[in-house]
Amino acid sequence: MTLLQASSITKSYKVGRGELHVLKGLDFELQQAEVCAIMGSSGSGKSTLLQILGLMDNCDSGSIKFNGKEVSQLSAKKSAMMRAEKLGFVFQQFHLIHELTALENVLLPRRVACGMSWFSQRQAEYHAARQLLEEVGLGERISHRPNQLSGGEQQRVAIARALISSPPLILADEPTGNLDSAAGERILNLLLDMARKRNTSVLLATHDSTVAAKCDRTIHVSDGIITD
Amino acid sequence: MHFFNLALAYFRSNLILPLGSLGIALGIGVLFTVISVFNGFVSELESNIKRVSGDLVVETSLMNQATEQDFADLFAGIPEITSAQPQLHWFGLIGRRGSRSVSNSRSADLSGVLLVGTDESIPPATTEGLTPMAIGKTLADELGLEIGDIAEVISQRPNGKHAQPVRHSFQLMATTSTGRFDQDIDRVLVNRTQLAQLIALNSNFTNFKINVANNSDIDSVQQQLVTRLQDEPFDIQRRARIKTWREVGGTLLRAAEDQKGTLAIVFGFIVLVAAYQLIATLLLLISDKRKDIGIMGAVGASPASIRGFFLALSCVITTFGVVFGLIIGMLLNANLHAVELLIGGGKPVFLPEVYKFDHIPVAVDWPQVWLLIAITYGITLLFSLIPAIRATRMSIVKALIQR
Repeated sequence: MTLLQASSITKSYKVGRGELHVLKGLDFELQQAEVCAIMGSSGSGKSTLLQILGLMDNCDSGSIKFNGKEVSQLSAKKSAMMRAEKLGFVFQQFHLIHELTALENVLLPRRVACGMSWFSQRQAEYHAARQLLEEVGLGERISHRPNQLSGGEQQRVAIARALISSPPLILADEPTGNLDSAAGERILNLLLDMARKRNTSVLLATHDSTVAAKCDRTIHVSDGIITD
Repeated sequence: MHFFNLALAYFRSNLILPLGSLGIALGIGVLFTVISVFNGFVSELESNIKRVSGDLVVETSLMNQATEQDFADLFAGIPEITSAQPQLHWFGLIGRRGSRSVSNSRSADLSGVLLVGTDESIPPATTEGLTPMAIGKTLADELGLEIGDIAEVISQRPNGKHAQPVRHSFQLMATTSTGRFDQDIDRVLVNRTQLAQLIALNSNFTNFKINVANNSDIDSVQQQLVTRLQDEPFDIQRRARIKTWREVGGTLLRAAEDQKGTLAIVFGFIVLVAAYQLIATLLLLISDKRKDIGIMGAVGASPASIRGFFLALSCVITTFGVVFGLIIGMLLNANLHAVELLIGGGKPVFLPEVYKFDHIPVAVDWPQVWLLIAITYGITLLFSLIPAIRATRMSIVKALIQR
């Protein structure tokens, strides 16, 4: 069953007086529980595609359907709600907030999305975050701040954060790009295992073919379109 | 509330934010103290005026045909009036017996005083058969008088169109202390009958000190007196001669209130500047933490949530500022004399000759303090809206690429 369907996506940026066309009418589909790698060289548009599919940026034209529902023209508020509830993000730079502990970072999507929540709900979220941190092997380090964690550990926190809302889709932009190969492999295995266990779809941008090899399907982006 | 947890975490980790609180704390602390001192000043002034003059004062004329009994009957007819004490006010000069100044009535060293003839606790004669008096402790110190000492009072007796000098000896039987410098330096309390005999007046009262029942409307009592005292035999036509305690305090009370208002505005600017500085602090934070705003946006924070976070941060900064400001204010209030000496290099700044009181009175008016706090929150939240709105306009993608 199709989870995500993108049709004729275009995106361009103004560069000086000219325009740089990054995506040129791109079509793409992702099935539920599917793990798909987007490969391409630097500047091919794979990160831009993830940002647009993750509703962090708008496309110039085209359509994005999530579970059959058009989402490309949502208001800022509805986009935010969608990101909080239906999408999880894992970034190359980890993107954790340094003022918060590992546990607080994991809870962040719930806290910023729900506003004020009931005590029982907060307790349940707290337990879920703890459990996720235990699952990624950081049960003993929940009170540590990002600067007290290694790169691999920070990425584990980011994975737990991406899963806290049990989203149907995780978007991962070069999740192993900042890690050494051994740590990168462990993180990738962890991400894919956890996603598969939860029937969560993963769309993963990478330029590393060994990473792509672990996914169910690989697509290539070149010059703003999917080539195969 | 999650925003407050997040805001507290930021507050703990970014030194610039507690510095914002410090500015607010200083403003609140100083304003709290200034308002407390002026409230104390006004409130002590009010109670002092009431103690000395009563709730109302009726000034009569020596030419008045009405007798003391006429006045007593009139006052008895007004149910709100609980007491009406006749007093005789006269002017004189005082000096210690034996001092050179007393032998020369033109001496500039003699102290000009208000002789207050009263029936309250001043007997007609001392055990030694002398005329007793009570004076303010400040005046006694000034003249070098101790209990039992004799002082000479020089005054004048009306004699047709002329005035005849009179001189009388008084024995100091007690000193008084109202806490007000001007009262304690120029009042001589004597027995009313003795004073009337000394200056040979037909009438032995010049005014009445009137007290009314609690919760009575003083203005209404004043109006009743104004109406009734116009009739024969009182014939007091001028309203100005029936004064409420507020009118007695007149200029002094108004000056204190005006000064309080002026200083509140001046020191209020500290709070305003501190709140303004909060804009700069938050803008700096936004510029420094662009990536965090991007992260919040990416994980699902709506523009309203991000705005809420910055307003929560402003609330946290203000709350710390207000709490520390109140602590600073209370500490200042408790150690005002030490602070005064510190500012004055060991000498008092508030001279009793100028500020009337020989101490710095303090009264905390909590409703005023709550109002001050509410205004502070209002201003800081209003000022925080600018950075909060700017934060929501940031593109998530651009924010995330900040290093």
